[in-house]
Amino acid sequence: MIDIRDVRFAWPGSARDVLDIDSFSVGSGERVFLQGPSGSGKTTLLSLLGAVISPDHGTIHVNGVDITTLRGAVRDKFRVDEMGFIFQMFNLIPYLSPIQNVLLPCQFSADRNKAASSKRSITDEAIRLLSHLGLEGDIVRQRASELSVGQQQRVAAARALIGSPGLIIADEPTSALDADARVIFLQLLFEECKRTGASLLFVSHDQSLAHQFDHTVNLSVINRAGRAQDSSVVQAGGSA
Amino acid sequence: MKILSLAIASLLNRKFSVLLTIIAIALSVALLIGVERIRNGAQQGFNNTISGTDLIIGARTGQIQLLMYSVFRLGNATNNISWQSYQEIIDDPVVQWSVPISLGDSHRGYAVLGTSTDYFTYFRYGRKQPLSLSDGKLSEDLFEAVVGSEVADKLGYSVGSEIIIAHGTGSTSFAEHKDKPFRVAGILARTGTPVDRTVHVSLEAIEAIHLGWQSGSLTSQSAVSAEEARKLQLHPEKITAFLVGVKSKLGIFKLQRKVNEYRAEPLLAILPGVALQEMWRLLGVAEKALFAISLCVVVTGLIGMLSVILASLNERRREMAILRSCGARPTHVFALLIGEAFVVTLAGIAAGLCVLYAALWFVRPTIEDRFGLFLSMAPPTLNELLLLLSILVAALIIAVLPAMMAYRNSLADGLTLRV
Ligand SMILES: Nc1ncnc2c1ncn2[C@@H]1O[C@H](COP(=O)(O)OP(=O)(O)OP(=O)(O)O)[C@@H](O)[C@H]1O
Ligand SMILES: [Mg+2]
Repeated sequence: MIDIRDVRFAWPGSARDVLDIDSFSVGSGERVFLQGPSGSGKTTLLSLLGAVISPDHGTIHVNGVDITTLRGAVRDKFRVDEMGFIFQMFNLIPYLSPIQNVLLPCQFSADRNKAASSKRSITDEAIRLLSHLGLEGDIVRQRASELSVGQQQRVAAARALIGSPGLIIADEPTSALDADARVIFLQLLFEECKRTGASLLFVSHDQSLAHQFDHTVNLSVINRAGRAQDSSVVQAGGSA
Repeated sequence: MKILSLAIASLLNRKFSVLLTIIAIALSVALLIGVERIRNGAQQGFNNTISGTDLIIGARTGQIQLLMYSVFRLGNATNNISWQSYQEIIDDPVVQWSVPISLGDSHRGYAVLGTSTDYFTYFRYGRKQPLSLSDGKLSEDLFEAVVGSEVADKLGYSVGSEIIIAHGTGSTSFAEHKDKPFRVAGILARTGTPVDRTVHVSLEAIEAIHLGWQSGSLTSQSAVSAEEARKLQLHPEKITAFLVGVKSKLGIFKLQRKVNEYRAEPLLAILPGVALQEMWRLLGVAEKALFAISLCVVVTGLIGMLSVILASLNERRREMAILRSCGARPTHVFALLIGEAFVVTLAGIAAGLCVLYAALWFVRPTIEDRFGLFLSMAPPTLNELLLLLSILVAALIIAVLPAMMAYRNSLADGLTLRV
């Protein structure tokens, strides 16, 4: 599903590479746990996978397509057709209802729209997904800003899942949740990923979740840039 | 379409500031179109003051000056025309009718016009409408007057009221023709023109009240009583100007040339339509200034909208990033903000038109009554629609600034949601 080769990336204006990864891959239907210290470049890696930014060097294949070759509108289309995103917090457009939030990818992607409406109307599909994730009744038509954080994260998951994209990318989706909500959320997310056959790349620094995944990858291990940076920090600290 | 409904949802989320913006735009639009209506009404009224008259002839002076005193009763004639010249000119075979007018006296600020009964037969205003009496009849006696509707209204005159004519113009004239009071014989129907503000008497009456007057004061030894005056054979010696209608339009320029080249005394013949246009161009400066001010108000309204959108941009960076992660392109983000400006301005224009028509409905009778200004309640004219369209286009152009900023932000931020 994901295959990264020899990728280097530095933020514009920064002299040092944030990422320098020889290889990293996620298989089809696999659930991968990506961990790493704060500032090590986890979110940056996800932005590369989402084709929001382009690497300075190397290739990134998602579902067999080298996304570094995609440009402009094609990238935007590819992103929404193939991927669903869940972020740490503030995932929802506050003035839209959960249903409207869930339907957003269907508005911008014909493929997702088609996939979501294969069995029932897309609104019914959104309601179905939400109820699978434990959101039912009036709450799905209220303003999203009136939901609790845990409920908001479940709406975000439903939005990532609707129309069955091949890859779900989650950037610390559980860090704002308490322990119980975290367990429930993960369970529901796994179930839905299994149902649609989607691969899951899950970023967190909560080590206790790692055992529930097929693989665990530590970014500071695969990222050469991070090691160089860490050692320079240590040196700087040592001389102070 | 989905972008537009998203824009509307986003605007509804900020009801209060958006509503204020819409009100600001609505008021500015109502003002702009209202001013436009007043301009048109004023120009209409202005052009309607005289019609059906082919030439106005007076002593040589400026074209506008002649128009001012002969039609608008403003200012004074510098010179008069001798009765003899008048007779010679109207003897020309192209002349179909003529109406002499004699100005210079006033009644409590209103102009007194000496003329013949032909005035009531041939004078036309607006769409060639003749004058008509709303009460009483035309003067029969030497000391009878026909007053315009405003004179009657404002001074509370009815048929039979007695009026004293003052020597000279202006309401503060002290020399009054007290010895020869006039009786109101008739009251004219409203015309919305200077006729409403005029007291009409006969040329002979003008002669009569000036019997024994030498250069602005009464020399007592030569005073003639009203009764004596009635018995006299009065012949006007001078008039201020006269209106002419010709038999065929081809005759207008021939007669105009003849008058302008007249040997016995320097005369000027003007075409009322042309003179009115020239005068409107002079007044046009004020009118254009009014228009410019109302345009500035519209710009202020649009800048208000711009600041509301700009203020929202920062707090909406996250919103844009969410949309991007759901497949929205930077151009969608751009379109979203342009769409918001479109919706706000359209709502502002629609509300503005409602305000305008409501206001017109309320003030129209008063304005028509007080100022003789007729304001149209008709649906927007092509011109006004073009104005409204340009407001909309201007709003969209202004919105390019925040849209560009959001576009750039959404490219730079990508999917990272910064707090
Ligand atoms: N949009 C950006 N522009 C410039 N530099 C950035 C940007 N986003 C991140 N960085 C820098 O890149 C480095 C990696 O940041 P990143 O957000 O990828 O870390 P992270 O591993 O996700 O950390 P955390 O666990 O705290 O979320 C940091 O040094 C950060 O300052
Ligand atoms: Mg991060």
